[in-house]
Amino acid sequence: MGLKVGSRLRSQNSSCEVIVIKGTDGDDVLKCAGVEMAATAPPSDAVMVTDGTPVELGKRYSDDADTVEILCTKAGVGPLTLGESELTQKAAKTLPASD
Amino acid sequence: MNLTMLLDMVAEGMDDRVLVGDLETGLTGAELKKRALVGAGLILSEGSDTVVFLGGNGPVFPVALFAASLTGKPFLPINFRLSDEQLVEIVNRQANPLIITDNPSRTPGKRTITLEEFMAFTASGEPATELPEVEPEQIAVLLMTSGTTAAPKSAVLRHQHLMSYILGSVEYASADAEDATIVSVPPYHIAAVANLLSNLYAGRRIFYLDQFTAREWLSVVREQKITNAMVVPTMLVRIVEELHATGEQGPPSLRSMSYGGAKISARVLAEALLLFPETGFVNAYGLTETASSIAVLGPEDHRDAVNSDDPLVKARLASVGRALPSVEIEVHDENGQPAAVGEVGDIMVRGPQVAGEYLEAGSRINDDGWFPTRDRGYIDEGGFIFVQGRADDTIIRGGENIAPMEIENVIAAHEWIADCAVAGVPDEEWGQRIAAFIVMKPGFTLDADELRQWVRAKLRSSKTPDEIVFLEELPTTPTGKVLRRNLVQMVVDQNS
Repeated sequence: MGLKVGSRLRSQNSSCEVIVIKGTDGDDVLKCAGVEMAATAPPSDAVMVTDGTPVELGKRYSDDADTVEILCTKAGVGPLTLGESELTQKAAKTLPASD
Repeated sequence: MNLTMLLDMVAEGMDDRVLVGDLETGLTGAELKKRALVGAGLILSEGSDTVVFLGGNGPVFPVALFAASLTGKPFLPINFRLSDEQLVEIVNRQANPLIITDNPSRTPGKRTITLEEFMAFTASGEPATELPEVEPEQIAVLLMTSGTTAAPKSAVLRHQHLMSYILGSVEYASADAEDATIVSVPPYHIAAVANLLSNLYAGRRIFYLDQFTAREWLSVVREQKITNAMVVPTMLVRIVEELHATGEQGPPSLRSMSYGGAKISARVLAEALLLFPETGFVNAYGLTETASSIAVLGPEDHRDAVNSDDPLVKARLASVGRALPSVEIEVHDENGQPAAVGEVGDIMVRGPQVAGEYLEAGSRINDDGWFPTRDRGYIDEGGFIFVQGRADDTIIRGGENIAPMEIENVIAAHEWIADCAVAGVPDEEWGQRIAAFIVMKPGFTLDADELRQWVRAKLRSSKTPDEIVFLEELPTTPTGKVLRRNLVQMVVDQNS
């Protein structure tokens, strides 16, 4: 299993979409709002959650051990979790603008 | 990951922010996406396999680039200063291009649309509704190498390379709403492509100044309250000259100025730092083949170097800084092994943004993932990278390897000299001999012997130029790279 760098994943019960910036070979499953994320769109009859920690557009998320980094490409209801741990928003990097 | 994703994020989160052009009349994130979708529809209905862009900088450039990206077709901006013959040769490499051009007569028999027609069409046409899925491995942009040493090749940049660069080095929507950048590098240069993507992603408005003059640049910076700028060294030279001539200081709105693309003279940089005391300077080092910057000397590095008494730290003002966190840079010796600290060798780079590939020549990335930049240089104990010039430019005189930059730095330190370049010219006895090409400051003269003495006093006699040529100006590419092969040819022609 694992999470491959560059893969796009979609929530199956909210509008949230993400891309994997830093991947892992581990077996832990990436979930959004409690349901495993998938490459495909949620089924048309999926029950969408309306309440929960928001995942914000353009923000980066990681676990405490920094095993993964997930970038939110479309905002939605979360939270994002990997295995047992909830991912938290990372502080923005401070690289100087080079172009 | 592809450029569509970037456009979607920009249009979603910064839909009403003006991102390209003037604050009153420019394109917002949402407008940019809408126009790109209309342009995509045109490309799909034409059945084009490549989108060629032949024009200057302006809002058409981003619209055309994203229109091509949405369809998964390569976007190929070409240098409009090329001769008709060169231009037609490059266009003929494409099977069925759509050419967005400011002069359709230059590419007879091809499907063309003018910049104005294309913009008018994207303002009122129907957006594409069915778009193909674009894979990260598909080609996003093709750029012709500048060909300073050989015929131009098409460098391949796939969606994954450009996106890896952006996601690895830029924070989404991190710019303040009033931030703006001024861009004068031409659209067929990697800096213009990378600059477009990174500023859009950061949410920083881009103002294009297509025809650079220092006076116009300074007045745009003042009028548009520009906060960020990117220049090639030639532009910085002109800006410094203009400020000296008028006795003004640099516009205080400018918080950041990045420079790169060619070597900068230490003297010009020192003067620029004084003229822009409030501005953070950034030296960016990158190649077309690496999807832009791979190393950066940031504002703090500049300040540290200027204020330090430690010769090691002071020297770093002439470095290109340290590798970005998302790439690895090493110097390798002739056996392909990592060189010691301070040892000169081949600069190698590895990372997800490194494309290292040409349509005509395939991938140049080795089995271990390293791409040879073809630049020579070394890394100091703090990880600061010093670029000494192109491997192809290394002079081999009587078996001794000589970096032209070492001699150029000594010559450029002479206060009567405005500009110089050093190159190896063919020699029957030595293999190559050293030729120096000198541009004097107006009103000053030196003779060849005085100049040789100046160099000999600082370097060994084997590094003293054998031949000295005084010129009015050096031939350069539009981005300021010296065309050494033209200089070498000049000497060869003179001697034959």
